[in-house]
Amino acid sequence: MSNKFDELKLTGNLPSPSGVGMAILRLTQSDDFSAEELARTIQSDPALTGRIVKMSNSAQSAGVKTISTVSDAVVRLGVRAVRNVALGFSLVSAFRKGKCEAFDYGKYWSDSLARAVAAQTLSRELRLIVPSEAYICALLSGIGRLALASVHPRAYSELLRRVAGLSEVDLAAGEREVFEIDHFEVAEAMLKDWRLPDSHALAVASYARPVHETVSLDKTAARLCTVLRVATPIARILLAENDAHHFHWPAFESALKLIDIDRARLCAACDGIAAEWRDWGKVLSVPTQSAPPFAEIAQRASESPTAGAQPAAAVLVNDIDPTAAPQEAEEEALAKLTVLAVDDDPISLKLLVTHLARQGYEVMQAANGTQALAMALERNPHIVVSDWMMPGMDGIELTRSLRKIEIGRDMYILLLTGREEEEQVVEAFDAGVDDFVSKPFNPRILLSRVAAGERLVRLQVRVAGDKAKMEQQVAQLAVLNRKLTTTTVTDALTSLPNRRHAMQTLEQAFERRDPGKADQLSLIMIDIDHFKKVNDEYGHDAGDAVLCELANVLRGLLRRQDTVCRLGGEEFIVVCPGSDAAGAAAVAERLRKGVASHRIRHGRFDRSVTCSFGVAQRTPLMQSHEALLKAADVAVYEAKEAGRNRVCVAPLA
Amino acid sequence: MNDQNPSDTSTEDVGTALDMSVVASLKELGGEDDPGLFTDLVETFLADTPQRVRAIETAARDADAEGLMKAAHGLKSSAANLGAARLSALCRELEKAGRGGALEGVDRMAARLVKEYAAAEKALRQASAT
Repeated sequence: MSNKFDELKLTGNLPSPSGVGMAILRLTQSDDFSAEELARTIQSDPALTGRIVKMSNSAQSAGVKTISTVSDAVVRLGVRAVRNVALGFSLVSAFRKGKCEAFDYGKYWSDSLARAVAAQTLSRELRLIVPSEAYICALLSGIGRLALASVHPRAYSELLRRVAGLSEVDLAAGEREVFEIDHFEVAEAMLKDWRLPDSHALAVASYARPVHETVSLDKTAARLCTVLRVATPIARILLAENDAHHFHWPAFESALKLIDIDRARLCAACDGIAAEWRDWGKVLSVPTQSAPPFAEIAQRASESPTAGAQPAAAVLVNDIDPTAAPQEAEEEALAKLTVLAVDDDPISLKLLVTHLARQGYEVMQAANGTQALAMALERNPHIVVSDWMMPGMDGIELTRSLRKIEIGRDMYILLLTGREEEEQVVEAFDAGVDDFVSKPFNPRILLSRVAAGERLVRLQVRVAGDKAKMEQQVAQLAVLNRKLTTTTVTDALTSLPNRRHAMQTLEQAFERRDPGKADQLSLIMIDIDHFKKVNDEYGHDAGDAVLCELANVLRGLLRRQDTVCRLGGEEFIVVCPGSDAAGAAAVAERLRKGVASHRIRHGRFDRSVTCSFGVAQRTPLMQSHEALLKAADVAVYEAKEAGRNRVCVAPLA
Repeated sequence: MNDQNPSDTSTEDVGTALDMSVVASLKELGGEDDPGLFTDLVETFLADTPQRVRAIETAARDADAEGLMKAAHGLKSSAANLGAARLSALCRELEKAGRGGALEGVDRMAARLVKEYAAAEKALRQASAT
């Protein structure tokens, strides 16, 4: 399942938190962030601050002191809960609309919010689980649907039309047929990816399954499941149209068997949920509607003989509205490009802004990396011109963070560098920087570099239409790939990048010629000695075990900048950007020793293996990466000839 | 701090503290659209810098290499932007010293920086008044 999710992730179109949400995700990626840091990050967004404070007040029973600051909210709810809620809210604001025509984004969030509020209230009433945890788990319980709609807008539209009127479980079956993965699995993987608690991920994966199939869940996950199972029909009732609320009562009634609550208290709680849902809808700008009192709905359900029959098109929250016009492709008005200027020094920033504005760009500014990231995600500039060295998040980290998310991928990023940073340009290019200008900048040079970026941006916009088509094809291709058992870039046996990936990496590294001394590239080719004997004497199982073990050993011994791939058979290569032959030979020697001293056990097989290593460095005479590959290959051959288990370096000719 | 020995700042130092071509280009940049640009920049600079100079002095005195590097880095680019070339060059040396941890003589450099800033301040005020 995780492989399939990784492929979805590779498309770059999975929903991800925006602005402050992203900053929070970054901050909390490590385990040692402080409550104050979190509170500070949240406070940089006033809207989010208000929502968090409201959240922490509504999660409490009446009579508890009302709080008014994020810091108090963190104290009351706990750091993790606040983090999770903030993430959820930032998703709501980032995905109000999208490209999947049959997916009703407003209704999706309306439903999610109703589930969240219902789950929170139920948790409080039943004292089953921490209310804020139930809230966030329910808010994200349908995120897999949003994800599939984002990654495969057209195919998901078709599917939604096909299954309109069927249940969420039927939708999931359709999803597996078309995408080889369903929205429950996607949601589970996404929650894990965002480091929400495992119990949340398990609950969103399992709540739609029959109760007897989920008895083995741990206590928290099981309770969350229960809450979701009751919250889901409540949300359906709340979202029902045309006075059809009571049609959904039977599903609710059967879910109620899971909990212990008397009827009067339940109806009061549900009316509370309805009111709170509308309230939250206003806060988050999510559409809601009013519903009759639940006691009344229950009464009508018991009177109506047709109550058991579900009206068509009422079960799935995202069924199509045939009258909805397809969304127009967004035509970007490009009279003026927007540029985000980032510098911690106020003088430099002011000059930068003045020069850019004089040139006719629409300029926004940020005084540090964190602020810049939030602003970039919020306002999506075409070009970012940033200082490199800044306290806190520097220009490189800013670039890395932007490149990780979809909208940041197309931005043209230009870094201002002082003399002392020039040695690190390779790192900067790796992080995804497009260009450099040295500081203090000469305005003419700076503006001509920005103009180069502008040409690129305009070109990108012109092909955006084609790109949308291409994206769709890519998404279809990804489906196809998932259907084929082999994945595109990973070697199935060892999980190392495969030959295809190896050739791409090598070619890209080969073509990249950076100025300065960092312009070096070396390659290590590795061939297992007498591997055929292993296969012949111990069987292919043992051979496979050797390959896997070897892959692990190699992976563990490499430097961060090096990439190891399996070419096929018993051949591996390591791409070493920034290394000369001597450096790569040292790495190869380390690998050689590591491999030779690692004992591999598999059945009768119980010994170490050795490898022959060929090292080659890129020289000016080499026309392409294939020449480099060839040189390394020759060096391996020499190592074999010279008696194996050794490193040979190709001559620098 | 920079007011302690104003008499030390000779007229000659003030006269060469600024690269007047930078000043001219900044004034030209402001032009008719934003005639106050240069004055604004100078005011921002004069408001921020004493604190930075103090931070450099403190870091030099306490042999705080990282603090020295950071404070000097910040001042280096603003000084260069306004044409205070000597001040900027001095910051560059201090930054380098901080980066390399080679702190011998940084207190003397910091003392020179105080004087150099005093000269740059005077020159900037003059340039901004004309």
